[in-house]
Amino acid sequence: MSGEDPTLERHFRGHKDTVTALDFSPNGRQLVTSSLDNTIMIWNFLQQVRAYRFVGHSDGVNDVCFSPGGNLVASASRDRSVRLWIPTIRGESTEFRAHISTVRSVRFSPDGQQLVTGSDDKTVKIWAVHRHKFISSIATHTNWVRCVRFSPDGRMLASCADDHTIRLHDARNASSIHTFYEQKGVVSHVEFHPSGTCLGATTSDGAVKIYDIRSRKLLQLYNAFTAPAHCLSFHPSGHMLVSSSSDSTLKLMDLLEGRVAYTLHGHRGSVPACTFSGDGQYFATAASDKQVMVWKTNFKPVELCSQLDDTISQSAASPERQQDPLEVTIALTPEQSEDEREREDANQVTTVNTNTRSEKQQETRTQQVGRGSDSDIATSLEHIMTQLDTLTQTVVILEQRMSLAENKISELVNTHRTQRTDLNGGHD
Amino acid sequence: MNPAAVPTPLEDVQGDGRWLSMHNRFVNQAREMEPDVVFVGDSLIANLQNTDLWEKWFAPMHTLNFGIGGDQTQHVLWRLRNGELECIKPKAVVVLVGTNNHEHTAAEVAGGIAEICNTIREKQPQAYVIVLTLLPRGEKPNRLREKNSQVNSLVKDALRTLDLCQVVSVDQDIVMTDGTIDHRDMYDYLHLTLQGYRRAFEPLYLLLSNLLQEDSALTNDASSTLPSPSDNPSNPGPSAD
Repeated sequence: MSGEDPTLERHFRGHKDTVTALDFSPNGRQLVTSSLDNTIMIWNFLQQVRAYRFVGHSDGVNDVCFSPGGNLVASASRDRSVRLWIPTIRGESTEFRAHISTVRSVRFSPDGQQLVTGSDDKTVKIWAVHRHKFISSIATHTNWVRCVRFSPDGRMLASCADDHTIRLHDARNASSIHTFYEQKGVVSHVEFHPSGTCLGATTSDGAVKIYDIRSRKLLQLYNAFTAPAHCLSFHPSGHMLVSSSSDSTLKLMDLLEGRVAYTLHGHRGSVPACTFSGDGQYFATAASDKQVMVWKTNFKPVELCSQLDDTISQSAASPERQQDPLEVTIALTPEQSEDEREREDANQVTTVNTNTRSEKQQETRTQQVGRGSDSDIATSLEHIMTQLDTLTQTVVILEQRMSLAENKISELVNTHRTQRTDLNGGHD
Repeated sequence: MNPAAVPTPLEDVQGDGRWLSMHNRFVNQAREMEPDVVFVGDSLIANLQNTDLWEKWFAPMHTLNFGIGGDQTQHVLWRLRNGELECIKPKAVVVLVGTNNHEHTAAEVAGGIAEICNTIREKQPQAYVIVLTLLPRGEKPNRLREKNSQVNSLVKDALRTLDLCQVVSVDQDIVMTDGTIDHRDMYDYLHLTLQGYRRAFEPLYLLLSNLLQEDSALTNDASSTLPSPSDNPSNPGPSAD
């Protein structure tokens, strides 16, 4: 299945505290990261393009993600709010108070119309993106909700919490579908398999589990780590997943063969986040060492397959590598780190200081600790591009608003019509 | 100068550095985790995490256990001043230490405990400090029992003026009517059995759940599904032997 080994592709530095989450943009050109330094940053894969830092939250940011259309970014913070950002140089954002305690997780629905949030206040809430309208709340968890996810078809929600459960809910009427109980440890992270038929979960006793949603059974168990496992992400083909742990390593699991294929070293400190890009060619990881690494997956292209075999394959309780023939170690030497600093954007960061969206001036502080004159042309090009971006996004948003307004009008007309017929029919 | 109130690291007489290893592990835990409650003290605190009470009652409250067997007040004081209270913002800190201070008088031990409370208050102004009374020891009445109860009354007096501080009695049911301690409550007449822990720490569990619920101010039913003390973690037989 694998052509070559995964390799380290990029290395981003710039956050000032643990990086908690990351997400690729749908077009694969950008990566957004969130951190306990209260900011989110957007990194570009084109060389010479500055990274943006978005300031606005008043406390650590726990989760961040792009909308499916790529035009919005949502972030969830310890300051109990969720912010929606337009990911351009102006970085406009709006915020809403989502919960009464730290918000741990936020995700868009696959159609981009809804948001789901999970919080330490033990609730999972569903919101409409338009006007941040509250839709419903699910209060079945009895402890901090760590992670919330929509299923690929948008019909189900999965949430996991410190109450040792993973819960499946109907996304439309917020009713409970099923609860998985975790005997040992708590589940820190949950993800839907791209086929929508399985759930992946990481637990605090270092295991990665795959549950089948329809049969409600455990399909696969990897006792992969000796320290708590924090995060996992499925390759879009569904054949592979990457998982990260407190012990600073990453493991790539081959789901068809049911074994750990690679162990990657390179981070120092706990790795709370990892994610595959939309096309699966890259995956990114972020750690408490404040660094973000982007790796090239280097797998032979495989056709998108839907389901895992219904086999429970237990890897032997061995963090010893008997099932892991290949251990790729990437340790950044001090000289290499120096080089990285030459090439990377850590100094060229644009800090965007945002207020809630108002028509008046946006304050944009641009910090230019730039390099030479080569970057001037690139800078103007970049400015033009970002202006184009903003224009496109404005048009998209206007379109969305129009269609929502049209829907509202037709709704009203229909209700009015039914009311009239009722009145007429009521007379006897 | 009160030697029980001077922060002192434990001298590594045995030669394997275990005490320092544990302290360093606790400091790392403080850096990585977000506890709402921290327990600190000697073996009575440390052994608590081996009971199923820990999983059932205290772990869901996001608790860290910084107990080390054999610790005296000056050792706990040193640990708290050297990293175990950094980076965290707990809502409550629970302290139980003092029964190992054999070289100190009751007054000195009480002074040590008071100094621990002052340190916690200084480093964690938002946290409730909960001091547990020292437990009696020995099968029959003895001078150490008297010393411990002296310490308890001195501590209660000393902490009366400290804000957000509470002394919780955990020693009231341990000694039976004939003055002896049952081995089923304390298997070595010093350390608690599971049954002993359940009885002694129930008031603490109730207090902590109240404190934490106050903070969360939720009105939905989720908060009332905390396990009540009457759900015994294991099936209660007539008397666990």
